[in-house]
Amino acid sequence: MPLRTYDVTRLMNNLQVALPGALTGAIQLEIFNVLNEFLQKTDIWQESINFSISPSNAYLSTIEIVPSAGQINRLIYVVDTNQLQRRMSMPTPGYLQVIELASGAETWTARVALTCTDPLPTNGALANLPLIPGWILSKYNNGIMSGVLARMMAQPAKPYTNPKLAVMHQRIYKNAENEGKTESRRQNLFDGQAWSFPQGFATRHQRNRGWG
Amino acid sequence: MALTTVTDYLTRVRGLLQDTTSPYRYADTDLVDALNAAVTESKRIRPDMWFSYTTLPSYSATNEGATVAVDQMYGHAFCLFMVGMMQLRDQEDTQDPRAMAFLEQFQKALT
Repeated sequence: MPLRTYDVTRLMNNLQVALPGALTGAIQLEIFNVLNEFLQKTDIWQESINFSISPSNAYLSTIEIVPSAGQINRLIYVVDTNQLQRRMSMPTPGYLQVIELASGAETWTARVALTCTDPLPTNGALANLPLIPGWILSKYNNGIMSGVLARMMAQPAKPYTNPKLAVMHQRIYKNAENEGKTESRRQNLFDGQAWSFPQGFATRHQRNRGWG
Repeated sequence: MALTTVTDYLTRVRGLLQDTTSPYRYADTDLVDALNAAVTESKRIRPDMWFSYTTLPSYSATNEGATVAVDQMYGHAFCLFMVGMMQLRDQEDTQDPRAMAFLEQFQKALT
């Protein structure tokens, strides 16, 4: 689901109130820059992409994978049809490099982190804004807004130039970025981690150990 | 009156110059030249105003219905620049500080 119109309107209204004399086009440029940086640093936008592999894919050969939207920034992991992790690398984003050979013709799945890319919509409420999932702006709107404010206020010789406030907003943005990075790794679980041992591995429980 | 077309700019500027009765002291071509100068000067001061243009727009007195691609909030500043340019041409010494004041006001409004 792309950015939601009301989230974008709220963001633009807030930015225009805080940035006297700022032009819409200049704000949209910085929104793209901030979202790109945010997505690259946090890995919060992820997608699983299936690809075919066979023994003919030799060691260090490459396989191209294409996401449904955006562009690939980082490879998180690769699993085979049995959900077992397989070794692959990605020296060039979008091109998997074979490290571990497949034993037969199989479909493996690459989990990748995405970031925004061109082309941008040229008209409508989302004109000049990147096509990213709407929940990201909805969830991190204050942090992203501070990122845009920091970049705008750091520009020289503008009516809204304000180096002190730029530093403050950059700090708020960095906090949001760190929060996003952590929540991405924990898959938005409260006080948890993304991965845990399957419970079939648990052979002993504390309550059965008869302490004392 | 909103500043949208070249005619809107000329009307506003003529009002400020007290040059509203024909025959005019300042020809349309001179005022439009000043508008074009304001465009190039604004590109120097505020490149973000024109980043989407590979070549800057240029206006002509023969097409005064053309829309001026300047954000409404900076339209008046452009008019002040045009007035300043006209005042610079006047030969009287007393006009020079006035002209400079208009040109500085333009720069102050943009930055």
